[in-house]
Amino acid sequence: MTSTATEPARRKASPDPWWLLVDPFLILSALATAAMGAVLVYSATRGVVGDFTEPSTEFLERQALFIVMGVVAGASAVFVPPRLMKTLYPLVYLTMIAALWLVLQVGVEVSGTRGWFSLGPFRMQPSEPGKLVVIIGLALLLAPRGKEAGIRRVLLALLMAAAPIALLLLQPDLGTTLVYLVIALVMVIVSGIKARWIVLLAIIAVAGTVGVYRSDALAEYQEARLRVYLFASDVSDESASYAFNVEQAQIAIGNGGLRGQGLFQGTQTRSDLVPQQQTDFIFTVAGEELGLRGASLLLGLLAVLLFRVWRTAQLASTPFERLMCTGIFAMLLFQTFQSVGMTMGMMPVTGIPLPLVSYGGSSMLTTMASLGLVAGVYRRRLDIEGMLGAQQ
Amino acid sequence: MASNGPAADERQGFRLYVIGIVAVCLVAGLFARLWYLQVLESEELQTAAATNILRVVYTEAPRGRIFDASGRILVDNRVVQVVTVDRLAFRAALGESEQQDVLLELAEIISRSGRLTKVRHIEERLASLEFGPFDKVPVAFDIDPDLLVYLGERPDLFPGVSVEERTVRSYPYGELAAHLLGYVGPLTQPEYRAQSAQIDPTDPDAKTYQPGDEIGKSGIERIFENELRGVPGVRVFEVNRLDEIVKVHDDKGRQPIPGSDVHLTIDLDIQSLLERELRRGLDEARRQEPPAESPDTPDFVASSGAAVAIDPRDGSILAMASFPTFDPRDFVNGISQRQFNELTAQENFSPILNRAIQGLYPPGSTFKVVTAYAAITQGVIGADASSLIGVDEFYNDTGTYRYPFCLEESDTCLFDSPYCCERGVDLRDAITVSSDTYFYRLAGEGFFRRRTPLDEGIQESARAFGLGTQTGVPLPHERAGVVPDRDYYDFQYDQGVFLRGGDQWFAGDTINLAIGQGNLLTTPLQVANVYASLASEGKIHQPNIAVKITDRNGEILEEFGPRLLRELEWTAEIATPLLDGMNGVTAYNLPSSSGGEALLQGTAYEAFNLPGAGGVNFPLAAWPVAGKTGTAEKQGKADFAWFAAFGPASWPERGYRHTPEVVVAMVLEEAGFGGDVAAPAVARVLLPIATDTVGRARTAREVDVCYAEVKQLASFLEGVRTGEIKVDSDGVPLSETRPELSEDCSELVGGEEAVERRGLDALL
Repeated sequence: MTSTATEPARRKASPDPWWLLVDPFLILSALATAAMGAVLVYSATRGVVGDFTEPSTEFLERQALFIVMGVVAGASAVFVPPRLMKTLYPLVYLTMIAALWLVLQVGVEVSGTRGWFSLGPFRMQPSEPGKLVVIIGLALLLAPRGKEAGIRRVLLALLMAAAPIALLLLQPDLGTTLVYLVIALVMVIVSGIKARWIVLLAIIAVAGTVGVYRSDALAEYQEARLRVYLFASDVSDESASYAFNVEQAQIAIGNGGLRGQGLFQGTQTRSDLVPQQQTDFIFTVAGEELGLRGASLLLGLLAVLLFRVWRTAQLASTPFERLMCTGIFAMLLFQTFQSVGMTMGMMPVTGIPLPLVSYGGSSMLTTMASLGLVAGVYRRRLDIEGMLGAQQ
Repeated sequence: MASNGPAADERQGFRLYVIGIVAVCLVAGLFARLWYLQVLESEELQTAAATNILRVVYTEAPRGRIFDASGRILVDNRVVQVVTVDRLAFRAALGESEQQDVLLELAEIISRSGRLTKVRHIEERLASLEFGPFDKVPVAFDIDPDLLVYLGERPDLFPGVSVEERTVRSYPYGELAAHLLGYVGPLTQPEYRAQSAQIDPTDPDAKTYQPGDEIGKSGIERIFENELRGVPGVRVFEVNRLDEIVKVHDDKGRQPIPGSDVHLTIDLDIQSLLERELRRGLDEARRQEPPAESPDTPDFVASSGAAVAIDPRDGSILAMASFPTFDPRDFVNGISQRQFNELTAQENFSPILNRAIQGLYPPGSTFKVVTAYAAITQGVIGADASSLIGVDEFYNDTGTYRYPFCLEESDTCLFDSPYCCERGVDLRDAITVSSDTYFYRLAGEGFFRRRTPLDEGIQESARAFGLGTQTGVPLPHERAGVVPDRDYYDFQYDQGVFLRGGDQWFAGDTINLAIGQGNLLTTPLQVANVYASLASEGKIHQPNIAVKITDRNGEILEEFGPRLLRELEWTAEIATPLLDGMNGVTAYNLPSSSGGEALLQGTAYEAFNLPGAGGVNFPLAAWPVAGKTGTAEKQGKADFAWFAAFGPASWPERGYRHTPEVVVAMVLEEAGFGGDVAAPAVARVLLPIATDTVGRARTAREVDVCYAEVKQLASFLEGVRTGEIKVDSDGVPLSETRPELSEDCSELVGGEEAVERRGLDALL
């Protein structure tokens, strides 16, 4: 950051060469991850043993479409100037709140959660783009121009984030709620509030979690899942089949071993023993069919991606952009850790997609758009006070 | 950045670092866990995965049924209870010595329930290699359904033992037509590979096989395997490692589709008749006294034979019999190796062999009509200047023929006829009395010498009649037989079998061939087919055995019409002497216009005219029978007796014109003279057909009931004979009532007189 301070004079004279404006590692790791994900989605959905029909390519084709749409969305997001985000923000925020409210009224229910709009052959999950809206909102509120965010701003920011979270709990969608909470927590911490506020925040978070668990806010299945995770010995009837799923996922990954069973050859995968395998449990396909080498490659690609987002946060030219990248980083990190960790028994099971890998249009578009925003931050990193953004 | 204040800016940078470190820890944690699962725990989890799968269970569909021409079920299915043992589970749960005890107890329980089972039998089954390691081995079939409950409740006592339902073949008519129908058995590894290679994996209705599935091994069951086989049903379960079903995937399952039914040309009544008479013919051949003049002749073993009945109008096989036979019911529950070896053993005369299509016999004199046909069509017999002899011209048969162009005066120039006497014969008479020397001369001076030394005219006609090649009947393992010629001699010489090749084909070879000896080999079906073409004015049909294939609802899927292969040259000049001669075989020839001899009795005269001499009183005027006896010699063995005939035959000499409806050919191995043993048996087959009194074929159950009745009556009669049972002067027993045969049984055995005369044999 200090090194960039000496350069602006030369930069004004001639535009930056294009290779300084793009982050090849970000783009390549994102595309490679998405491509690998599409193959894994195909493997998980091409049919099970005993099915005599042709392997189905329906999911593969749709996921490819989502990737293309995601790339377009991401590329567009690169050129959205921060000023425009600020100007449009109230409208976007209200739209999101309206959508989250509307989905409770007219949405379709999938495994106990009413969180999807049905749009012809596709379904749209408003809580996915909502994550990005909350991230931008928090970044705007926590990075006021010219001064440090005071406690009132922090509280305002938390209130802003609380509205969609409340609507999510009504769906109920515990997993996505957790993502929102983690995003808010990390962004507030990085925004630079004083350490004592952080301690207070932590206490509130723990109390809130216990409160939610004690209350009736959690659906029974969610409670059961948590019980299995927290107290493995407590196996009630309804949680038994759920514990079975968790075990199957780990067996699938272990079954891959070092070399894997071979693409499309995973016995667990083909036997349809792991639930939600094209979405939340997609990592088990990589684990079983590609083995340690393939699964490590996938994790490695995601790690590169995460590192580039984190690095862009460091390089960001404004506090707003830095906080936005931090929020996106927190979102991707938590989703990756939760989704992968859940399949390996490190985390309780919640329905969270693995970014760029899991099947799903809403998640794909949101992730690609957020990476586009990060690329935009990278592109503007040499520009002080958003000059480049202003020129456009 | 400056605007945010240096302190805040620095704090943000620091906190971003902290978050970065947390991220590194989390991702490292994921890698560590991945390593743990995929490297350290991998082996254990892979084992779990192997036992923790979606289990696809295939249920065999019931096989199609087999019907006779009038729609009676010959082969059906029934459901039985089967005790199976999962060897892996059984051996895993029990020690070596415990296994013995449990098997012993299992055998006892099964035996007590009514199905006698030995421990040794169960052990044999468990050691059998026909089952895969994961297959459940069936150890006892057809058990009491109560055992299902008993064994099902005691998995602790009998680990791996379960009771299942299986569909097996049932044979309402028992042994009837066993060779023709064939049997089914568990698929072998090579069969599994061969079948699997043929199956289109994308076809959801493919008739897939699983190891241990039933497959047709012989006969109709084998040749129509694809039609009879059904589409297996599929059930998909999700099971955990304890083999407990976690979930049933109904959407992925499918009900089995039964196989198609096959309808045969076989007439069950004629089949039953033919089998009975073949067996009786052998019995009577065995009882013959050896000829007094030559006591050192070989015994009449007469333990095997075959017979075929064909409809000459379209080549349909009406009946096909081979003896000794087997019981296809033995295969239903799986046959032991020992039992199977007995069925194939030479010393038991290989009961498994279908001699009608797999037995190779020299046709003997039944071949003479082919030689005669060759002689007429090729001008050896005829009015031409180049002809050797005219059709009506007499040749003086002295019982010995001397080949006039013989190079040295030696025994090889003399050809004897074992059954003859001195008389003058023309072609018609030569067939009627089966004159060897007449045909010796045709072959020697006619074919071999007069035309060209390379002449193979007899072979040409033999091949034209379909000898030396498979008839093409839809049955597996049909043999082609041999029509010997110079090429064949060359081939056998090259193989080291013969001592001389085709360049040393002598007059004697042609002479032997003319009377169906030498190296000529035919199957009974081929001979029947030759006579079918004589009966149908030279039409050669591919013998047909199936009429149609239908699905379960009787909807026709495929129909098989008659297949005419070719038509031989056929004129009155050819037909008249052949038909007259063959009709004379079962009767006698009127004195010939040119000959002036006395009546010549045919070789089968007794069989068709003298009931007192073991024959029947056949209504030849209404239903003439044209036939030919044959007596094939085999070194060191009694002669093989042949008779082939058809009726109602046209008889030009007497002015009868008929369309023949049935051809019967029968061969009895090591049984003696064809006219003495084979002809009476064929006469007994043809008589009920001619008079339309063919008895109804009895089901196995009916035969069992009748057998019990006959046994009772026979022992009563025996008691009367020995004086153990006192009777009064009218034959009415004093102390007990005389057992009586039911009406149905009486009809089957031919009344009580038959039991009195033949005892238990009456039922045969």
